[in-house]
Amino acid sequence: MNDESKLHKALQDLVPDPPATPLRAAAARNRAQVARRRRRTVVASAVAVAVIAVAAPLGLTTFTGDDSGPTPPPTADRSGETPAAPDELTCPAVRTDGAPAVDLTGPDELPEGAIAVRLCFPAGFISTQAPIDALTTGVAKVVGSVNALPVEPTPNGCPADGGRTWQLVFQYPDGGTQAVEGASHGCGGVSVGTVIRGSRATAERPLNRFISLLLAQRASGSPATPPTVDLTCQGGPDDPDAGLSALPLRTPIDFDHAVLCWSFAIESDQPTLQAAIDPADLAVLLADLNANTTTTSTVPTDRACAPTVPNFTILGVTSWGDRMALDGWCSEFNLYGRTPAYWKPGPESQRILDTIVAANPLQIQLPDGGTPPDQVVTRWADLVTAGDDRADEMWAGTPPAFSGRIEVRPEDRRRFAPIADTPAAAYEKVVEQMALLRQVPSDGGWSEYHEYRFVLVRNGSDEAWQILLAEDHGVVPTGR
Amino acid sequence: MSEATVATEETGATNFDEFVARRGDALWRSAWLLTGDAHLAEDLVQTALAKSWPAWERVHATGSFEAYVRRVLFTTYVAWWRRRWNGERPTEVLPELPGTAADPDLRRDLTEALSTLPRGQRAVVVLRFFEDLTERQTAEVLGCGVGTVKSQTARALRTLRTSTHLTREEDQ
Repeated sequence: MNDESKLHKALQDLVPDPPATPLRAAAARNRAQVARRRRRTVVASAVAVAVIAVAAPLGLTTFTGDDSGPTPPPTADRSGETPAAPDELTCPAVRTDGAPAVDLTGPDELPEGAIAVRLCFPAGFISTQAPIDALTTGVAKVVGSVNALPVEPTPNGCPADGGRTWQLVFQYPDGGTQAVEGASHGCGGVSVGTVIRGSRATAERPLNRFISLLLAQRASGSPATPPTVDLTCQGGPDDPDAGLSALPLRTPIDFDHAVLCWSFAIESDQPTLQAAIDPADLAVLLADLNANTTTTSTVPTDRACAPTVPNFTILGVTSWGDRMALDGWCSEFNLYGRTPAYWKPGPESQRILDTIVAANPLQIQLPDGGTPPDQVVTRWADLVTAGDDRADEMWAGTPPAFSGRIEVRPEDRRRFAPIADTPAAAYEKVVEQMALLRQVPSDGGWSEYHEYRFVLVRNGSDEAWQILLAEDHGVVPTGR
Repeated sequence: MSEATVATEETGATNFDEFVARRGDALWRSAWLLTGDAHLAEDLVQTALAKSWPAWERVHATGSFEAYVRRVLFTTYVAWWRRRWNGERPTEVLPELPGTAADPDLRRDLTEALSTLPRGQRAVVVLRFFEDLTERQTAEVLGCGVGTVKSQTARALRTLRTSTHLTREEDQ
């Protein structure tokens, strides 16, 4: 037997038996019809995406166990024979009446044969942005990852922690849909029909499979119409997950547009500042970032950030409409991926960032009637640190002789009735605000915390609290 | 003639559904050899069928609809399979293995050896040595010259002969 004969025999032995796919012809016709509709209505560049858009319904009868012939998968909506195009597969509307946002009724095992699947997020503890596009390639693998999770018994109790809940809505060739809902908090697991599959530890496997397949699908196409996505730094660097995409940040990063968010490591609560990044500047920043990102197995230890150094976050939108955040600390940006990485802006990038910050300086506002006593104290500390003479305007008594940088950590507060004939007795309202305070050496080094008792006064709720006195109760013995 | 052998003659099907019912599995087997993955194979088959379906009436009348579908299937694979699918396949998942061959290691080795072939060479190997097409028939399916088929075949065989996946088996 020569090589070619051997190869022929080996290939014949190699190929497996095909799966039962009785609706293959119908699926192919549907795919062709969808492609034809798309060609008539969309620009040519979108056609390739549309043709890709309906994927393989595999093994459509394997779930039935019915000898009477192939049965379409059980779905929530059988209003028509013509399948909806994947871009018509939408996330269920968010319910505000407490009712389930998505219909989870259906079989306890996802039927094979789904042609599209969309990721959705109900309103919940964490706001997460769902991808704009449905997955239409490799859908069977997502179905398989759901069904591969074992059915778990109902637990007796679950941690009352918070977390993200996600939904995967599958579409079938007849246009019907079937949804599952997963969470890795609380009891966790993936709700499929009447059962829970998987656990807190394994619930995100289908989600992760979906994400990896969607990213691969995107690699061969582009969105027909770039979506409009608002960018606001409402969450700020302290809340980077708010409204961000469920998809991971991947390099090279290519934002369609972006804003710069920044705040300072100061004592008082200040709004995160925001400014749009000029497209030309954004191009410079991203080119620098993509060329000079350093991967590291350890996070740099020098993470102390002076109050004058802004903490940046670049909030950007990809061409697919994904809202992504480049989270910064001091003068670096962190890229959280499989391998930790950071980017330290080069001179030109730093100049761009500094220019934006300089054009939008932080203005520490004096307190008003709505400012609580602890924030009055911290604003005073920030003004002292900034060398702002308005710090003295916050005092009803004689300001102490502080200068340079001070840190203050408000603790307990209580209202009290002042002793007669003391300065506090002259005011209608008096509160005592305890705080830890230290003066930071010029080199930013270590110094003792002192416990301070601030007394704040005012004559009406419309007035701002003023500081009447600050008593030094000595070094905090715990070394805090 | 095996089921996988291409039937350039009339298949006997009177409509598209009947054709798919009769020849779909054979197409799937070829697609599996091209992709090494059951799901991708099904998608490739359905893509080819979807592209061919509008031409059913016109091509069926000539008695060569299967050859038409097969050409679409292979040219689709060669032309843009990589673009559509290359990044999608999860690397942690090995291609599923068939259950007919006796030696699982040999199956795995052959699968891996095939996966190292460029797509054009892999298509030629499947057409020539699985579907038993002649060089001319292979050239017609792929829309290239016979000389190209010869050179691609020679290169593919040379690669397979020297593949560490297969030579290791022979050496042992």
